[in-house]
Amino acid sequence: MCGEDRVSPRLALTADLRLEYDIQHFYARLSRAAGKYIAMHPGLAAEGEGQLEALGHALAERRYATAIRLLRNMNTSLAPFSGATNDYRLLAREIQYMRGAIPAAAVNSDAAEGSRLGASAPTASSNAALPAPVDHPNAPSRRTRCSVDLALRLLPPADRQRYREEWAAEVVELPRRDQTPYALRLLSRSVWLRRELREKPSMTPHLKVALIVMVPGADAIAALAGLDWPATALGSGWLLGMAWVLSSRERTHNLVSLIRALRSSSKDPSEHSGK
Amino acid sequence: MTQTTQAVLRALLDQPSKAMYGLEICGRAELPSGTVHPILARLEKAGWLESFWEEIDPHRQGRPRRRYYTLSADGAELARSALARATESRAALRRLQPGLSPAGAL
Repeated sequence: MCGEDRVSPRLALTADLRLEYDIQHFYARLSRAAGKYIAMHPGLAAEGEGQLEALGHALAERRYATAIRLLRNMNTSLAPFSGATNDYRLLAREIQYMRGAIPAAAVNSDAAEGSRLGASAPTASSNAALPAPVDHPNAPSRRTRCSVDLALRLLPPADRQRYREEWAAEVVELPRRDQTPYALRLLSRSVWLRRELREKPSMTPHLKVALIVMVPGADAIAALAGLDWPATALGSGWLLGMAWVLSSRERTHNLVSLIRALRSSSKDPSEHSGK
Repeated sequence: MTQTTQAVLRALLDQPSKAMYGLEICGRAELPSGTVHPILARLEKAGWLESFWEEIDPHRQGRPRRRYYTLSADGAELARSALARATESRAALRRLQPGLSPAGAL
């Protein structure tokens, strides 16, 4: 995403390493998806594995037009299995996105190969998931794109494509002066988003409501949960502490003695002054 | 439930049948951008929200497609009751501590 015509060697290297990572991650996902369907349909094994190997070579050599063509072929051969079709469509879109991140020279050589392959291969301009066309009036600056890109890097890989497109649509809505602050806020919050995306839902909302209604004391904790987390933690700690003290006769007796002692010590000065 | 989550739910409940995208929700909830996406992800995971892609051709429109969010049928009901509970809790705490400002310093 940060790739532009004039970039420093360090930035170019970073983009290259990131692309390398994307390709490896993408191929790992593809292998898993293909393996699943090949296992389900052993008749496809020889053909599927051959296609997968060819695709692996194309990706390793960054021949993206070839990779997309191979994916489309796989898509057609696996068409009866709707899940597979969707998986491969998604993966083909990821390849199209990666084409946008690679250096211009590599895209051009790949596009030349694509034109030899015919109409089935997408052109270099068909980057549907890029943040915005370069000639868009609100095309984001490099700083904005790098911030968004960094925010995306912090998300789980499976969710990156979705947020890449979602945030790109939002960035171009903003005037250019507001885009970088927006991107920086996304970056600052991406750790929270990552946590939300990684967490499995602990319980359904219905179960939560049922627990609050049924469990004594949960109502108080739910009321405290309306506050921010430090207050919630303190309140919950206080409730648990009280429950711990009241669960033992000896501890309750000690607590009562302590309260009496505190009361009597606070009364003493007034008694002295009365005398 | 945090204040920001309540603000997002209120924004969505203003027009429950209308689908909104992230930036629009930020504006309606009067929250800074970036804060709503973790909340939207959590609510979507809990089943309170549903999301879908805008059906446009990005090349023809000259912009990427948006991701729209809308309250699910159950989600709208749960959001209303959760907001009512939060309001009750605030009122109860205010009764306990009358010094709190009516605007809600919570």
